[in-house]
Amino acid sequence: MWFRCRLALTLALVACNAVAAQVVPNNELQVGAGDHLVRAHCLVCHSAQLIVQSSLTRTQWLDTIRYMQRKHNLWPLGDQETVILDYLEANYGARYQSSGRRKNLPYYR
Amino acid sequence: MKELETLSRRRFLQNGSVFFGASALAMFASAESAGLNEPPLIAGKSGLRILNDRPLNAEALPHLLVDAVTPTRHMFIRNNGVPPVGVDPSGWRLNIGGESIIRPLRLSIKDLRSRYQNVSLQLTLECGGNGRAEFDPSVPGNQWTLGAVGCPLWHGVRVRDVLEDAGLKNDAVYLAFHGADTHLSGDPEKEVISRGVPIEKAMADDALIAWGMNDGDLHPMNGHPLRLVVAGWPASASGKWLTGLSVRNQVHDGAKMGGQSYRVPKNPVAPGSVVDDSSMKIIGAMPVKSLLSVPQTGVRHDRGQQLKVSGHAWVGDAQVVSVDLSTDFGQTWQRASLQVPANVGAWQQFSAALVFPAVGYYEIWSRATDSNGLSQPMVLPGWNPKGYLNNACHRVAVHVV
Ligand code: HEC
Repeated sequence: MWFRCRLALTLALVACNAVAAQVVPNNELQVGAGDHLVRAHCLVCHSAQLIVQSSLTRTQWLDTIRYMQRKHNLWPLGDQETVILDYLEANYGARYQSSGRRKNLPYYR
Repeated sequence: MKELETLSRRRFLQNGSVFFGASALAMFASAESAGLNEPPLIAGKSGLRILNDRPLNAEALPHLLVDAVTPTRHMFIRNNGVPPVGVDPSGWRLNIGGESIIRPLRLSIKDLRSRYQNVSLQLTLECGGNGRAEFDPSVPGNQWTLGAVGCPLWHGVRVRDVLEDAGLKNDAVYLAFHGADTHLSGDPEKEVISRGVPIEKAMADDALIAWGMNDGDLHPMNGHPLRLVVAGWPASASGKWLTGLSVRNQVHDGAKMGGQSYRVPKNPVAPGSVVDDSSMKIIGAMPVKSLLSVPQTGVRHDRGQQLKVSGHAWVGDAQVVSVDLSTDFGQTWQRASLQVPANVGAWQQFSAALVFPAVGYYEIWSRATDSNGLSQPMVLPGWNPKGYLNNACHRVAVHVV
């Protein structure tokens, strides 16, 4: 709520010098078991949008965590790693496209 | 923290500079406050779809990319880390060095402007991951759709002229860049991204050290005050906030050169495969591609009228020789008229007027062919683990009424 109000206010401030407002992304993590751990560990370096955009298998999520630990200073997650993976798999798991190899085009108008 | 936020907001409102409070704060952010980002608004940019506000990543909406010369406001943003703040162009220095440089140089922007031939070139930059959103199975990273591409007019000097001034040893293999952005973790020792191109490409006509775009300075999110622009290669090879160039006697091994970053399997793999780092190769020139900017997808069109269609086509290190359009899902094609590029490295404009046989639902597909005889595929070509190089033909929907 607080976020939305601020958003609307700032959009209004900007409206005068921007031709078209930028499309603002979804930055909210799904509520679910383990979300507190994801909030605690995963939002320190970047926004939730990198997670929200994803739909990955458990292996891809684990590989992503290992990649960040190898290259980007992500710390060891200990016992919490399993809970985090459970959360990611449940909420941002693999989404296979079912409509053939290319999606139907969305309706804009 | 409050104070910093206010400062950022004031800077945004007064100077019209970028509002990146959240990014600048990343290193101080506590876990609780980190999720509560400021809304991602970027001064000097419009019509962008923001994929991530920390780090900032945003792409142009395809139907707004109508201009032959991409306006600064519509040029996409791909940040890997936290951009520098409080940039002072007059104090900025570019160091030229590396194992294969004879006389290292330290140059101000004024030195660059006065010592070397100034050139203005329209050069296409496309993010290697443009089109990643279409990957099936999906892959990690920002889910770019169509708009991580643009072709502004860049002002600067040729990389070649500067490297020749510094002198190249015979063993020069690779040009590497270094930038002033900082790592998301706040670790000052860590380079965010340090990539580059083989020396042959660095010495080409379409590789610039640029200080300006269109009618002004570089936009802060596009590398102000100095950047590399290497046309036709993944845009990650064109370092922003440029502070150093190293000529290496080996393939550069900087951040995001190895592993799976900006690399694709040497041999084609089945979708969803796990590919070992040792079986991957660095992406070179970007493949041929086209974008229909007119009409916007989903348009309603009167059957009695011709439909004017236009867009851009581009390819790395080659030229587009034809663009074909289909309104029947690829069964038949008609040739669009195609312009020559403004200069080597610039995208090309195509246009056509289409008529439709009956009312109903149509898709327009555009397929470009390059001077090597390669055309765009209809579907996602070669799935790869990080979602690069999707040059499948662009489609827009038309409702003929
Ligand atoms: C210490 C810093 C840090 C933390 C903490 C962190 N990340 Fe990252 N993460 C990064 C960096 C740096 C990148 C690369 C960003 C880029 O290239 O734009 C990244 C990228 C990603 C990506 C995209 C990966 C890709 O292949 O491009 C995902 C998904 C992601 N992070 C999820 C997470 C999750 C889930 C967590 C919590 C377990 C997390 N991150 C915690 C630093 C971090």
